[in-house]
Amino acid sequence: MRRLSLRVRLACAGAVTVAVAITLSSLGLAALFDAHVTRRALVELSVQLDQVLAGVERAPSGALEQTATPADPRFQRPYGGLYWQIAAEGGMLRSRSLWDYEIPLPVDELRDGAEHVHELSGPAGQPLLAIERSVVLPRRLGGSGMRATVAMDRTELAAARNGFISDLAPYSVVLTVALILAGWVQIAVGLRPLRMIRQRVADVRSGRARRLGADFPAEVLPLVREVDALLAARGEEVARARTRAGDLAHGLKTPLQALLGEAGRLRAEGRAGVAADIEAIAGAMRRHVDRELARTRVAMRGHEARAEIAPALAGVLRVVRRTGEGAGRDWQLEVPAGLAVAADPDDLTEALGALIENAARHARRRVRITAVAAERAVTISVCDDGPGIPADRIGALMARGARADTQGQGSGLGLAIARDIAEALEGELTLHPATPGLEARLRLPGVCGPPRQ
Amino acid sequence: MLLGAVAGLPAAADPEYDHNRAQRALERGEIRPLHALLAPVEQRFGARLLEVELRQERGRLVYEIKLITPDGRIFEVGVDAATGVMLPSDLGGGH
Repeated sequence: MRRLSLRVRLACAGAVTVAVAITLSSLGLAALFDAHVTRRALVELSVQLDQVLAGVERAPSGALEQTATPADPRFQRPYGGLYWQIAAEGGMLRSRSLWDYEIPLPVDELRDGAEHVHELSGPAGQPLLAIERSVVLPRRLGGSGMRATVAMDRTELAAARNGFISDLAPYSVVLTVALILAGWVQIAVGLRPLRMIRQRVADVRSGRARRLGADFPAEVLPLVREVDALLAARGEEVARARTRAGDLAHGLKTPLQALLGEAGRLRAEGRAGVAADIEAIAGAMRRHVDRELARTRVAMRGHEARAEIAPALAGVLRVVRRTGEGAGRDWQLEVPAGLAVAADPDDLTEALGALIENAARHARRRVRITAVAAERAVTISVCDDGPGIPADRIGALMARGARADTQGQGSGLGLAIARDIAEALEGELTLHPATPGLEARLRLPGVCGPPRQ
Repeated sequence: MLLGAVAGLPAAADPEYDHNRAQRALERGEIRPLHALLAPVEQRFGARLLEVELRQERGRLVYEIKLITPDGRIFEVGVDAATGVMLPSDLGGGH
C-alpha cells in the first residue's frame, strides 16, 4: 500500500487548521460585534428612558400621564420595535407601540435609580432587550415610586449581527483560500531538499558525484549521512571483490601458462596432435577467464565511474603506434575534448585497446576514430580501410566466443572483450561493413556535465 | 372630507389613547390580541405593517390595518377585532 504523500499530509493538516482557525475567529468577531451592538443599544435605551421619565406629569384628575412622549416614531407605531412602559401605584402608562400588550416585568427588587437589563418577551412574542429603572417621583407628583422600562426588539440586533456575518463570510473564505495556498507554497519550499536528495542519488548513479554531500538541512542530514555511509561500505565491498577477482585471474593464469608449456613439451616430443588439442583447450580456458574477469571487473565498478575518452584514446594510441602493426597507419581522430562515458578509465582503455588493435591489424593505411554524444550515450566509432568482413559473416563473428580469424592470435577475442565490457556497462558493440573496411561502433552510456567533488 | 372624517373616526379615536382602549377591550375579552389577528393578514398579503387603528363600526370593534407590500403598494384591510374575519375593503388591494 502506498503511503499518503508528505505533501498531501501536510497540506490537509494545514487546510484543516486554517479552516478551523478562520471559522473560530469569524465566530469570535461575530460575538464581539454582537456585544458591541448590544452595548450601543443599551446606551440608546438609557437615553430614551431618561426622555420617558422627563415626560411624566400628573393630570388634573390625579392620574399620572405622559405629556411628552419620546420623538422616535417607533414608539408610536404598533409593534414598532421600541417600547416604553411605566408601572406606578394606581396606574400603568405604555407606549402606543405596545398596543394591547403589557411587558411582564420580572419580580425584581431594584435599588432606586439602578438600571437593570432584562431579556423579556415582546407584544408579538419576539425577544426584547429591556432596561428598567426604579425611580421616586418628586413630591409635587406624589412622591411615589415607579418602575420605568424601555425595550427594543432583539430581532433588529440579531439582524445586524447576521448582516455582519454575511459581510464577513466572503473575506473569511478569501483569507482561508489564501492561507491554504500560502501553506502549499510553504510545504513546497520545505520539501525541496528531498528533491535535492533524489537529484544527488541520480548523480551518484550516473557517476557525476561520488557522495551525496553534507549541504542538507539538519532534518534530512542523518538520512543523507546513512546513504553516504552505505555507499562507502558498498565501495569497500566492490574493492574487495575486485581484489579477489584479480587474485583469481593470477591464480588461474600461471597454471594455464604451465599447461601451455606442457603442450610445448609434448610438441617437442613429436606429439603435435595432442599438443594442438591441449593448446586449443587451454586457449579456450584463457579466453573464458579473461572475458569473465573483464565482465566481473566492469560490473563491480558500477556506474559511478567516469572516464574521458580523449586521454584514454591517447594512451592506447601511444602503445599501438609502437607496435609493428600500428606504426605505419594514418590515425585520423575526431574526438571532442571533455567527452566522457560512465565507465572506469581502465575498462574504457581495455575496450578501446581491443578495438584499435583489431583495426590496426586489418587496416591497409588509415584508421578513423570518431566519438559522438547523443541522447545520454556516446558512440565511439573505429573504422579501418582493410578488407572488411562480409555482412553475412558479421552475425557469426559476434556469436559468443567466435573468432574472425582462426589463424590470427585473438582478434575475435579482442572484439569479444570489447563487447563484454560494453554490455556490462549497459552499452553495446556492433560491427558494420564500411566502404572499404569494417566499422566497429562502441556505444556506452554518457555522463552529463563535469564531474562533482 | 370633513364628512368622511366624522364618519370614519369614532368620537374617542384619539390615536394617543386607542391602544389603551384596545388593552381594556382585550382584558374584557371583547377582542383578540392584535398579534394573533395580524399574523394571518401579513402572511396572506406578504406585506409589512405600517399602522393600525381600532375603530368602532356599526357596533363592533374593527382593526383598520395599513400595510405595505415589498413592491411598494400601500393598502388597508379591515379585520373584525373579535373574530379575526377580514372585512370587504373599499380601499383597493384587490385581494
